[in-house]
Amino acid sequence: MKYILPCLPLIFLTSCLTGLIQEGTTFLAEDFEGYSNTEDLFQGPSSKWGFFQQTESDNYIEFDTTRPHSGEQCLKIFAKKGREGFASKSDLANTDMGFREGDIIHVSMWFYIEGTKDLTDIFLFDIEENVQIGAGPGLRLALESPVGFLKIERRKMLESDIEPVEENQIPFPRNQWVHLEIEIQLSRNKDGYIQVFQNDTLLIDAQQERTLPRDRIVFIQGAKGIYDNVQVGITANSLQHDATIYVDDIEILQIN
Amino acid sequence: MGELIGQTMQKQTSLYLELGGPGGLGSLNIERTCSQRKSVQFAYRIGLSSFPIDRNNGIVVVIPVGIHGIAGQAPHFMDVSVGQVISFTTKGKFHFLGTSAIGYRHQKTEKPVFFRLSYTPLISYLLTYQYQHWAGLTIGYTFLK
Repeated sequence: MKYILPCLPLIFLTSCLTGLIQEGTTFLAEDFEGYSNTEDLFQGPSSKWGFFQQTESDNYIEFDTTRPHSGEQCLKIFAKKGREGFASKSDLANTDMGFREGDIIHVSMWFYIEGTKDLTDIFLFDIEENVQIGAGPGLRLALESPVGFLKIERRKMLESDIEPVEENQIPFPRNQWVHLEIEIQLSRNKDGYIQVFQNDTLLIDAQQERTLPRDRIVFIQGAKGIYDNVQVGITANSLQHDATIYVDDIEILQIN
Repeated sequence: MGELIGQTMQKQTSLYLELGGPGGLGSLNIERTCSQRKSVQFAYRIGLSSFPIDRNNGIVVVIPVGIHGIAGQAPHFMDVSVGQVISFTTKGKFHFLGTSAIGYRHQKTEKPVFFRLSYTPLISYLLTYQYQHWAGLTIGYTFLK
């Protein structure tokens, strides 16, 4: 008994933390049709989104019927410019996903970005793991440079960013619908891959990559090897100016 | 830390800074010798380290604790340890890591300053098993009696 008693707190902690591992879903599709107001996105048993992530009171989402990509409406998203040290977020989040090591994920989304402003450091899509210690490590699709070529940012999982080769650093088209696709094979070791397509053109083809977080010294702890969180919209805005984007026809699914 | 073989232990307290090691990038530690069995002297250590994550996740406090077994003849010692790394954030999250270490400790009998170079792997075991290589470099001061 004297050896068992000291172990009880550890057994208790282990069971508490193990409860954090969720089964999750591997499919999410959203066309923004059939909603009358944005609260409906988060209500009901068939709700596809957990919450609207809003870090500034002026940030908002609303349905737009003037320029849907398909159907009757799309989602308009507005985010104030960020402040130094504080990202401005305005996005839809689902924290009930369950993509695991070895899964191949396919993401398809349509974006429309108004105007011709500088697109540096606008983030459009995050896939992350909720860890005990760490800042939601994962992969983030971002726009780089004023013209906004696509890159994969991995700073939160303490890995280097993945940028396209120079000839693929093409500007993000403005004032038109743009089809973005991402295919990821998940691996905590360096044997996964990430492919990013813009209007069916392969811009990033990164092989032998770590695509799923793992514990890193004391800076990331409790990584389970499960992406449980996706965010779509303006997951972080740049410091330069406010941004308005439109999004439609989102599909995120496991394909293997 | 004197010559251990054939001596009775004198309890000593040391303060040391470890770069790397189970504290992450570094930690400040207190070590206290606690017992001796044959030629091995045992000590326990408790440390403190901290770093910020971000606004949402707050600040992490890292507390490495461990038991050390130290054997050898001055000034050359082998320092072996096992322990835990307790981490918690100002937002109420926590986690534990296992740690072990094996290293070389250089400490002269009459000098208070000592050095240690250790291999200090970190072992995640609560949710999934993950083994990470890591190392630590220590400079410490022993309060001699």
